[in-house]
Amino acid sequence: MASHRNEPKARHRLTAALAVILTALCGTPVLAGSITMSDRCRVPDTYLRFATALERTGWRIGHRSPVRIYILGPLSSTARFETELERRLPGINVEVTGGQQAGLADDDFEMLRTAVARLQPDLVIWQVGVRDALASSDVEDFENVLDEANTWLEHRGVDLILMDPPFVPHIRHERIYTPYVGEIGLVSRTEGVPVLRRYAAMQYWSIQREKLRAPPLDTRATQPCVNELLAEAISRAASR
Amino acid sequence: MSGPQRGRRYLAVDFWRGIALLTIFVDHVPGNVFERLTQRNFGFSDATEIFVLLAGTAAAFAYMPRFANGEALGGAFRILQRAFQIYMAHIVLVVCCAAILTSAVTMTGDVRFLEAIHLDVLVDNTVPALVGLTTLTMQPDYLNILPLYIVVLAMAPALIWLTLNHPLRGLLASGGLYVATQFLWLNLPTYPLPGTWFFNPFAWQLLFTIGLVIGQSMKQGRTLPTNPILLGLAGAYLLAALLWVQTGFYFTRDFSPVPHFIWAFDKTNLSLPRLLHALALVYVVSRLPMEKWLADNRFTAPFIFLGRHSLPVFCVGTVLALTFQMFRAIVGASLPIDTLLIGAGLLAQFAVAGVLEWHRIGTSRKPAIA
Repeated sequence: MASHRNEPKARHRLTAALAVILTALCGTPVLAGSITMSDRCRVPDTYLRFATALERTGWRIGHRSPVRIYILGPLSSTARFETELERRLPGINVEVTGGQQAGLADDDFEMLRTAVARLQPDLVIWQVGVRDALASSDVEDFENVLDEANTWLEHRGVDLILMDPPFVPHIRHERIYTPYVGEIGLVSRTEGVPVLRRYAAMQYWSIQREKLRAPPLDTRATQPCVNELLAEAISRAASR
Repeated sequence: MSGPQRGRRYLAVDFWRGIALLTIFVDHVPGNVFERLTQRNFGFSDATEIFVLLAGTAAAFAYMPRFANGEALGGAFRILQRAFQIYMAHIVLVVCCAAILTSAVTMTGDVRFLEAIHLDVLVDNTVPALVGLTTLTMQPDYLNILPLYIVVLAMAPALIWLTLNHPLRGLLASGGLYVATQFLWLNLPTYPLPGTWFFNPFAWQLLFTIGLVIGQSMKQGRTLPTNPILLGLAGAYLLAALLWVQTGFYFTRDFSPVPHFIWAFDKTNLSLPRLLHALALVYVVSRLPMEKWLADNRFTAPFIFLGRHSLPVFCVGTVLALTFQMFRAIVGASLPIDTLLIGAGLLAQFAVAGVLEWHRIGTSRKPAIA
């Protein structure tokens, strides 16, 4: 569907991969000015800014209407995310539901279609990339599915946020994840899809810990921070 | 499926169950090059549909005679006994897979493995996860087929009772539940993670019931006549599905108010295009003289053994598939590695089935239970 973009894609992909590596080497020093982010979860402002506004979600929040959010992916802390978001959007009724991933991005898209028909959410948050990385899926196919899903949701007026894979420090096979992180970033830039750059944010936290000579980042313990990050980014995008 | 005399075990049912098991194994190592050759690349349905339908057929062979002889209570008890056996196998399977995954995480430090299969909840939230495991409401990926089978088997006494002397009544009741499920979004909940079952038993029971009716007809020596119009329609549908899937075409339109299940390809709720694809495939394949071919060709025997010992073969295949997923991620994926892993996995399943068949023949002349 995006044949007009084929030529610059390779360059975009290279840039995306470089961006992933560079982020690991040097975090952006400008920190978010928000007072609602806890100290240990603070990240550069750029990680809290989406490529585009969340139109439907923003409209509903602006009209103080309830917001329905569907999260596809690991769901261990949906309740905590809901609390974080409601803390940032006082008086707004936020209803978060979730579904387990079906498999690769392609299978997930099918699941999303059913979930949208059933739940009619205002916003879909799709945690994507880990399964495809483990399976070494074709990166081009992966990107096409994200494009298709974005178009499909756009036609229905449903907002979409992609969330890239989590980062784990000192993993030998880390190279399997970076193409997919890069591809999600590419979709964000070319299609204007909001992406929560979890991978980069976690890399940033990891580097900060290393600078302070603290023990390495415990990925599983960062979930509360990811919830904060997501809630903060949504509340900022919605209030644009 | 025509050919054998009454009372004989149908080779074609075991053979296709065996093929379905091998296909499930290959599909459960996502991204491997051989995955492109499996059923789901050629149409809307995949091996799960065939497996559930043939489970219904096998259940008709194994349990319906008791119901027909007025031993409904004994028959129901046998079915529940079998469901409990599968339940125990499921618990062991989840524990084995959790051990493999946690070992991979310990070896590599990559906790994303746990998250990818949804077994992180077992580590983070152990007590609720154990409750979820025992109540079948914790459904890690690749480990959600047996819970469906258990629930459908638990429904089987009622489905058999409804179908026994009135197949149409059984199909109507089962179809009614299917349609109600689609309109009311009925499903079982998951726990401790929020959500619903990946394989919705209220929808998938229809395929099992259709399998029951097919099995009952076969047992009574009745076969579906070859109807040229029906055969042409089924063939055309299979061809259209093949083209659709191969071109990777997606709907970007909303067909509302037409109900979602009529035009979607939803595996969870067994949407109509998937159901019809599976039925079209079964109808077309059933026109082939499979029984004679299988009886005359001893090289097909290993596939028949696979289907005859489906539960242990499925469990072995699942454990291997998960191990291979981790292996490919850590070592890297390539054609030689995929060939080695998939080849080893297939051989292991043939070996398990062969040993079990050898044991069965040695200890008893009775056919294996469904």
